[in-house]
Amino acid sequence: MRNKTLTEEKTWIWPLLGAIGIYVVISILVHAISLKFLLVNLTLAGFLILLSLAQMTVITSGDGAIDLSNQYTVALSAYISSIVMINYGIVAGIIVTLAVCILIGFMNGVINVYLKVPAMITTLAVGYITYSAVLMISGITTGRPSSVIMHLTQECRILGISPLLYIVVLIIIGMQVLLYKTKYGKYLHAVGQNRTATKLAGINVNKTIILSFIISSVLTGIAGVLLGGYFGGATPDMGLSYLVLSIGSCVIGGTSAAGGKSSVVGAVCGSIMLTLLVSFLNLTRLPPSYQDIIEGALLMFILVASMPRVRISKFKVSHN
Amino acid sequence: MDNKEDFEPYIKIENIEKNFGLTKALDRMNLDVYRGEIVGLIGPNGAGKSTLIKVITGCCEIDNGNISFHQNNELNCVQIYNTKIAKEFGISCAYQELSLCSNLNVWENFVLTAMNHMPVGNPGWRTQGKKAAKQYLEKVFPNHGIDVNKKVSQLSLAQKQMVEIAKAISCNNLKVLILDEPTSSLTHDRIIQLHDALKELVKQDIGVIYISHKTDEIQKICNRIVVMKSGSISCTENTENLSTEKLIEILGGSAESRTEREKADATVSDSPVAVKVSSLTTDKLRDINMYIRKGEIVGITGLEGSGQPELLQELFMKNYSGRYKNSDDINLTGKVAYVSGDRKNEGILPQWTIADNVMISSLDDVSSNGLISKEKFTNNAKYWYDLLKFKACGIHDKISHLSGGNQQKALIARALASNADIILLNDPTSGVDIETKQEIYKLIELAKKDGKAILFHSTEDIEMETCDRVYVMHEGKIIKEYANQDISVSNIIQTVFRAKSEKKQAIAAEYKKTDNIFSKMVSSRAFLSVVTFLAIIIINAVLNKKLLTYQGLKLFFSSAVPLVFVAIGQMFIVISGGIDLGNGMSLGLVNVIIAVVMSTNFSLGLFYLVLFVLGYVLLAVIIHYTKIPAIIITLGASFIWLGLGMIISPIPAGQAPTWIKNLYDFNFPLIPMPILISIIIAVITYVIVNKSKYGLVINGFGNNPDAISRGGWSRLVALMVTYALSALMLVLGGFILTAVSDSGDCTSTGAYNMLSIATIVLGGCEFIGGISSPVGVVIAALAISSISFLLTFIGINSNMQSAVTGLILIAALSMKLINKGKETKNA
Repeated sequence: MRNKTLTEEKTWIWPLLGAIGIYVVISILVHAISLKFLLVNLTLAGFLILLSLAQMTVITSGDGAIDLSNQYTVALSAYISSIVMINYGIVAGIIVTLAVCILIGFMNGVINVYLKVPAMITTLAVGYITYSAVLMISGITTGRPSSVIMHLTQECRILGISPLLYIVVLIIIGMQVLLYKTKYGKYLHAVGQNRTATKLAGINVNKTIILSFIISSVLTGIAGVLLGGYFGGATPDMGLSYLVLSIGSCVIGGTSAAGGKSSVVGAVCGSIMLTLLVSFLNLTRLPPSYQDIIEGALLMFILVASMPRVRISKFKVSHN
Repeated sequence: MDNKEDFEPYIKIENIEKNFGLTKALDRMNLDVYRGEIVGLIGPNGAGKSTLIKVITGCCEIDNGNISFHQNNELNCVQIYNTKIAKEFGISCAYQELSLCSNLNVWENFVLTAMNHMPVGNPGWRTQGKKAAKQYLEKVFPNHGIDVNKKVSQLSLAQKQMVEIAKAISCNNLKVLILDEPTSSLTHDRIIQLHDALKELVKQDIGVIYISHKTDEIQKICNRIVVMKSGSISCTENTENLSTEKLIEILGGSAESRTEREKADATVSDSPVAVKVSSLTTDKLRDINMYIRKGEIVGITGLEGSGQPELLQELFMKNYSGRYKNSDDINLTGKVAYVSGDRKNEGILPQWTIADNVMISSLDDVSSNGLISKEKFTNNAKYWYDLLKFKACGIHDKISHLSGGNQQKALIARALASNADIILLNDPTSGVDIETKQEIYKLIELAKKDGKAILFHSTEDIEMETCDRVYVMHEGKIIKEYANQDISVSNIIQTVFRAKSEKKQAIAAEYKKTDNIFSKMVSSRAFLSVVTFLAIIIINAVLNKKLLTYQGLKLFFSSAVPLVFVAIGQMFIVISGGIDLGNGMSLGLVNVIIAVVMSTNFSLGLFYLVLFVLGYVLLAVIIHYTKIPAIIITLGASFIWLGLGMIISPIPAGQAPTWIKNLYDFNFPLIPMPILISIIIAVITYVIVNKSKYGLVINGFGNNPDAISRGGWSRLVALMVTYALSALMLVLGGFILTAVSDSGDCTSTGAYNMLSIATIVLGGCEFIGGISSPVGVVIAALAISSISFLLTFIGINSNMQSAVTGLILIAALSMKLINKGKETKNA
């Protein structure tokens, strides 16, 4: 009876088309179809993909939740992994970094759920604490990653492709399974749609929300370690520029800002599209100022354009 | 007054029809209301009374029929009808669910319903408003004891209801007053006062529609009684011709024959007890004793608001919070499933398919190690889909595309699939068509045969006939139990309408004890910021003796003032219910406009600043029309602000115009300039937000947009004003920032964004909108800016500044939680 349009079902189609479109335009501009250029951009997009998947998990839990601590967790995990890995070895570094990220996510979740502080403020406050830790650590170390991580993220190639991309693809698959094939994924989406209804269906809402914050900070931590390796060092503000882009890419990819609806593939396509967009703006050799304005205007335009479905449903609700 | 036939009615309602989906809420409803009479409107739950009110007040459009008003000596049928026109005809209503802005004072709620839409009140409007509010309250409820300066949120429920009624009566040009269950929380004495006041109104030729479940009140006060049933009038009679017996007979009169089903057999009475409640008492429930056996359907009924849903909620929570086994008052044997009839708010997960909605509570059955087996999932979903005969294309249909009845079936399937032993049904057939209702009864039967214990709450008394036993509730108590053959609509209605309401004494319930000064201080919104501020100043002063000198203070606070303005700007947007995530960048833009452009070309700079303010107004327009959250729009806009700033100057450049530098450095007598500016801005915003008339409107929109829109104010304009004020604050903050830094740098102001959010939280604002504290915000801004000074003095790495900010934030919010806990205890 109701024909669901293809784009309504597969929300990732638009950002995918957008990404392809931008790539084509770039190829025409530089008069060459450069596979290397594409690979470099995909690698760059990998960081954004991890961060937007992290953001998406929290946004999907609904209630206007958003994770503002990620931007600082990126730097903290880069610094901590560098210190521990150089002094105590890779494995210890991974364990400690993960533990710190889990702790950050746990704090976010517990404060949000039990102190009933809005997610935005919670993650802001926890983010502040994280940032202080970052500043303290940045005073005693350069954040230079261990040689293994450097090698892995910079020169190393497996079948001509950076291991970074393999890691990102594995995580994408993992998230796809977690969000759509497991009980937890179902619960998360239910919580995001209607917390009261989910609770009345007998599901532990608090646990689901806390886990979503932990998943978010762990993904962010992984992105931080890789990012530090790729750029050969950490800086306290290395995560700041990713905040807007990570929210943007998941919303463009079909994640509902109101929660309950997500798309891993959409967030991936959105991340690739925005990364290509930034590269494209760089290529135009416009002054950075104009690039910013165009980026902001385009982002707002894309967001407004990807919203109408939400708008209609809200309209219906108000008339019920 | 007795010969109404000689007069035309003031309102004539003819053949009104109103459908909600398949349900006919009003079916060829007729009603005449004369001036100078009290019409009593009575009828069972779901008879369409509230819909009728909504039609008369213009809140609800009709599908068919005519509404006419007596005007210029003739009856005119109105073509277009809405809340504003209803107001012009002098219709005023006190709603059962109350239409008050809880964040405003009592008298402010009175003022906002007045029709004068001038943004600024006449001199003395506050005094007049207070006086009028007091007068009206005094007129209706002598010795009301309500402080009109108190916030509505601080009143007891009874006081709120008194305010709602007096507010409705205060409507200028009042012709017809509608009261919907006006006495539901009033004490006996107050009810008598209200009735006396109504008699006075009648003498002034005002018509009253009095809706109530309480037959004794209706008979005492009304000239005429209209009995409504399933959307139309079933009887209209003058009160003297209608005895209590007859009224109750009409109400429960045509009790339809019992639904055909085999009545409880003997086996039920032997089966084990699954639910046992003994002496359960909570806020809403009093001394509940009941039980449900396995394979038994137990009904629970009574007038709305007698505590039925609360009882179900208690049972559910006992199971949900996992402490269900060994507890004194509630004993449950097995798992509980809850089915709500409020499908939209408590039931369906709207973005999902039928399959997902049915299976969500039973995913354990179809998954191993957390992974869901697609095959099992589909098979189980299909099983329930076929069993329940959904009217849909398949299990993968979106649930929001189904009719209410089919959605309800999915919810019942969810409960059945979950293998729960106890099923709680909260009005599961509300708004469901007859055919589906029958199917739902069959499903309940099915569950019964399966040995489940079922508690069935319904607002439709007839449905109780499907139960094995029925408990009747009244005012939180179980007052009667019927079993088997005794269960009938007429029996239930007899019990319900004969139940005497206990005379509530005018004690603590109405009068809250007055707060002492100390507790007032602690609960003040600015308290936290003041304490933090004082702590920081004192520690600083101890460590650095020079601080408490004129120059010391001036130096100490000079870099704090920009944050004062930015935070106040953020506060305005938060009052409207949004958050500005771009104000750090927009401050940078203002900074470069002033330092680079304005310092060389004043008028051009001024022009740019005006454009900037208009840009913020444009954001308000976009947010209003697209309904995209403010947080996303402002985040996107932050790029534009940054880009514009970079165009003007990509690197730090320019200098502060000399006049602003001189002004800011000026040694004002006694009070250092930064403190003086902070005080001035605190006073001005306090006046705007808390004392001006339009401030009331803005606050009201943040809290209860419907109530304010009903008063005829425009939400778009309010939003535009809010954003313009916010931008203005950013401009002022930009001036000070330029004076302090003496250069323009659009990339260095990003941190102000998060700082401003932290500041308003510490300053006592709430993100739900409409709750703010300008003074608290200003003090919080000074405190947060001084943290870095403090840390330097103590010898702590200044990098800890943000951690301290974060910890203060968490502490501040935890304090709020404690305060909130106190409030709920008091309530």
